[in-house]
Amino acid sequence: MKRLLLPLLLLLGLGGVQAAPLAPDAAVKQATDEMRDLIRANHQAYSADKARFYTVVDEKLVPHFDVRYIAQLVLGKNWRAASEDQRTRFANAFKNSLIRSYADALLENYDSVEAEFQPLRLAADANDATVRAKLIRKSAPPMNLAFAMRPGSDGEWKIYDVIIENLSLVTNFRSQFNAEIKKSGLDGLIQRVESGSDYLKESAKGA
Amino acid sequence: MILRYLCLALALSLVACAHTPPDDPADPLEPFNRAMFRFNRTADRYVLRPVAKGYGEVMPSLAQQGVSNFFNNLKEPRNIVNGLLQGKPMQAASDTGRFLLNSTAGFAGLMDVATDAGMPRHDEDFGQTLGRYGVGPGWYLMLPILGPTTNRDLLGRGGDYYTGTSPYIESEVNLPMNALDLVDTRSRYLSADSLIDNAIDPYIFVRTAYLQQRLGKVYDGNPPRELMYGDDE
Repeated sequence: MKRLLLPLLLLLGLGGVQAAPLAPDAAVKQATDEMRDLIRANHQAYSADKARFYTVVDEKLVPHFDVRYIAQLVLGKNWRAASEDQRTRFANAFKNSLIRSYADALLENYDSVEAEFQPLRLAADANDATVRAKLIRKSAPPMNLAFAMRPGSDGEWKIYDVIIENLSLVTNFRSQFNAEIKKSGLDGLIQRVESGSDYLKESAKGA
Repeated sequence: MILRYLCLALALSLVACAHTPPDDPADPLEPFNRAMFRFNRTADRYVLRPVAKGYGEVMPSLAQQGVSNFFNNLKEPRNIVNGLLQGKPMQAASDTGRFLLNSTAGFAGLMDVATDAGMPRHDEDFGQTLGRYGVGPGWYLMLPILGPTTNRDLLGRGGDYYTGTSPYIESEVNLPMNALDLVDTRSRYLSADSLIDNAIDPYIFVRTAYLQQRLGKVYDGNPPRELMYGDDE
């Protein structure tokens, strides 16, 4: 058995070298560059057909986020009490509403902001990383931006929180959703998020 | 004077070193705080917001920048003292350089020439210093007119009094100056109004935002994970 295992491990290890996951900051940079190139090339088409653009965002950008973990963090202590069905429904609805709200901002501002990434130092066995960037805006002071990341189930680094000037997306939604759950229960909240309320859109505008 | 010491003693006794995450803070006075929040929002809608809006429209943006720079410069002593208290001598030295350069070459602080000279602005206060030494925020408090704070930051305000201008300047000058500072600050946050107005619960939105902002500042933008998200894994 042992004799079989060693070559097998070596083989897996060699295969792993070729497909080594990108460093966290490289992953974010690659994702943003790719998205920006796509928008640049198809801006008119995307503006005319929002549904198509949302699909593109879902396919290209969302895989860089750990959607399920974000949902878990946002629900906080309510996650433990939730059923598997509720968890899946919430994660999906929350993801969709985020796309609907932030994709429009993306389409509008993709060319007026520039991100300056700060160098990242990371231990080889790190399982949590914060990628920092300065968002340079035209006619406005720069903003500090941070992506909290951890390795996902496929080994690639995934974003689980976006922090703008000390304000965390996860924490903001968690406190708001907690209040909503206290008022109308988890199912009430899920329905509200599924219906795509406008408050998400407003928070996207401010960000 | 006695009242101030009484407040300090009260705040000290209330700072229970509670380290609570921003989304689930200790807010035992919530009914009172909510009433104050409503009062502040009304006062803001009828007085401060219109004034700040008018100020933003009337003042040329260059003059507005000058006003902001002027007040920022007056806060440098606070930054220097608290930088030293937090064990950041290099930062305090840089802030001293800022204060000297901007007060002279920057025309009494109207221009921020130090940033271009490679000395960026920092923001330290006594509440952050206390936080740095392990004092948790304690209770969330909503004060009339003064806005959101916590036990710790209220105590911090008491300390900041001595590094501010109030003890050293006649109140006839100081009061209008503080009013201008307030209007100038408010005018820079006008764009945040729609965020607050459209939140599911504006009170909770402001509470979470304030507490996160303070947590971020205490740890210079790098708060420990467990303080930020709590321990809900």
